[in-house]
Amino acid sequence: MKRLSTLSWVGVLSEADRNISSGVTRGPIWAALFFVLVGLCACADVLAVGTVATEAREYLQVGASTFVLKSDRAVDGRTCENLGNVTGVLGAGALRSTSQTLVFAATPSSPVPIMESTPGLGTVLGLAHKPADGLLVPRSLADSLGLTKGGNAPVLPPMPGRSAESNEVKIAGVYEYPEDGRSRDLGYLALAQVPGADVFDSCWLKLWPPDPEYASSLLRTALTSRKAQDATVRQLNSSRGLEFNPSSQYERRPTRYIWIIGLLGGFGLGTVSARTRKLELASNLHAGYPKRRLEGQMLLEGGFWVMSGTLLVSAAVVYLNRLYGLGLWGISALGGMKVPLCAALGALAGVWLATHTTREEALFSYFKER
Amino acid sequence: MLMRGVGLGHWFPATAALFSRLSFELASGKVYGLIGPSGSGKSTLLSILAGWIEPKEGKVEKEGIAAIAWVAQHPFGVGKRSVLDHVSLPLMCRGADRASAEREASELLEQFGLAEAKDRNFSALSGGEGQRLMLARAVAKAPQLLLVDEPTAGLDRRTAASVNERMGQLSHRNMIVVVATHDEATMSACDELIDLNKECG
Ligand SMILES: Nc1ncnc2c1ncn2[C@@H]1O[C@H](COP(=O)(O)OP(=O)(O)O)[C@@H](O)[C@H]1O
Ligand SMILES: [Mg+2]
Repeated sequence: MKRLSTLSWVGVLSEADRNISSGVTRGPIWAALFFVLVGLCACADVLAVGTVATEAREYLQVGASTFVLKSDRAVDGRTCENLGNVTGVLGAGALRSTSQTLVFAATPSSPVPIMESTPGLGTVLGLAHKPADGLLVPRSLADSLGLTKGGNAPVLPPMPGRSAESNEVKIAGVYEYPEDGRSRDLGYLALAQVPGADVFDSCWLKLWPPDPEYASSLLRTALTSRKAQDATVRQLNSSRGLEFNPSSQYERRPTRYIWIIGLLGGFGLGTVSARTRKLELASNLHAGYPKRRLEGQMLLEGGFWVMSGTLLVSAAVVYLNRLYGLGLWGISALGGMKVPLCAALGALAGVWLATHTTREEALFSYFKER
Repeated sequence: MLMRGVGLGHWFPATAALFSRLSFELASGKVYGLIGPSGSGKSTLLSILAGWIEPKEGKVEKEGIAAIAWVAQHPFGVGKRSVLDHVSLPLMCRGADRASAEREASELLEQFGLAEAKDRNFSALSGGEGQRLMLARAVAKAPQLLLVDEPTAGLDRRTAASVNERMGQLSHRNMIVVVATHDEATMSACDELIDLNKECG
């Protein structure tokens, strides 16, 4: 029989396997400790990121990152509409007033003003798709009149504008326009949709991330040159402040350095897991086990519980991420994995270092002390 | 292989001279008993032979000694691993695959009266079985020098006998065996005795 002069890697693997399955590794205990310690750090980070994301979402939802350029009959509808294709712009559309009103059969004494908008305005108002033909109405009006998307509402003749022979209007969409501090411009009216090739009174632009100056410079390109001087750009909702920088909020979140705690915690667990087996390791070294291979064996055993722990933490991170819908906010899944991955590396480094620094002599000093 | 102690002497700051001008020659295939009462310096001399302690006087000459094995006063093992695993490991460390290591280990276990205990976990062994396992594991390492420090110290008379009975197994192997002891029965299993209380040479 041909003999190698030392322990084969197959032997190393088999030793690791026997230690794991016989419980010498105490894999489940270390994995559970890893899960609790690193899981707490990772979840704290996800919660902090989630808070930033929630603030960001609210900021966007209340219209704080929607900017409105106003200049009567001096806004080019097509240019405004095309701003919707610019990177970072979530929606753009133009709006103008009319002298017409609509009288719903249900409320004959309260005529509703009609304004005209380009299709992109629906996107600015949070409608998922560019609306089909018909009128857009705010939620409050829809609720008080019992109007629903896609439904028809009886109106009193004469029906102004188009289709004079009909006694009904089609409701193409209902947009949310709550009283959350935004300007009341679109709170009580019906929006009739018109093509963009014309002049309008205002251009609405929804931008992410919010940047008032960039918004203003984009919006001003929609001005027809003549009456540009009296044009104003306003934030639709100024109650949340003008400045909101999601990426700097993310970078300055209180848990931004928690990966270091994860790393150190993992390192501590790894170190202790190997240190508590110091005599066993020393005894193996004394039996002729090469140090390098023993490090390999311990990394295999460590890898077993580190991987289980990391998978458990990752599952918790993914779950929390989904609760917050963080994927939408440019915070990649990998970002959320930073804490468990650092902790995993730390744990393996701890296992390696503790094994590497274990010496055969540890066995004899132990016996001396007995 | 050969080992020689030449004019060895040693003491610690807090002790008088433990031994001095001690000379001896150790040959392969023999079991040497290192005798003397408790505190006479037996463990210290074993450590000097192993090379872990520099003697204060004299020197140790070694020829052809590459590997040393040490069996301590108390058995040490991994509670959840089997007796067979404990003896197979040193054989695997010398290059055997597990199957042939287990075959060889089984033979050794039989020689040390542990054939029945082969598949038991270390934690299920009695003190005497533990010490016999330590001897088998040490022999499996195939060292040129085997140092055994009071293998029966922690055992009652009857279990000690089971260990002493196997000490003879250490003779006629290709290794030098030195056993520190103050147990009469252990001494009688040795080929030669080195008395620490006598000055030699
Ligand atoms: N490292 C040490 N430092 C100081 N004193 C020691 C040390 N090791 C042993 N001694 C002392 O040396 C004496 C002999 O110890 P030891 O060699 O263990 O004796 P034995 O093994 O024969 O019982 C004891 O008095 C012990 O306290
Ligand atoms: Mg002693």
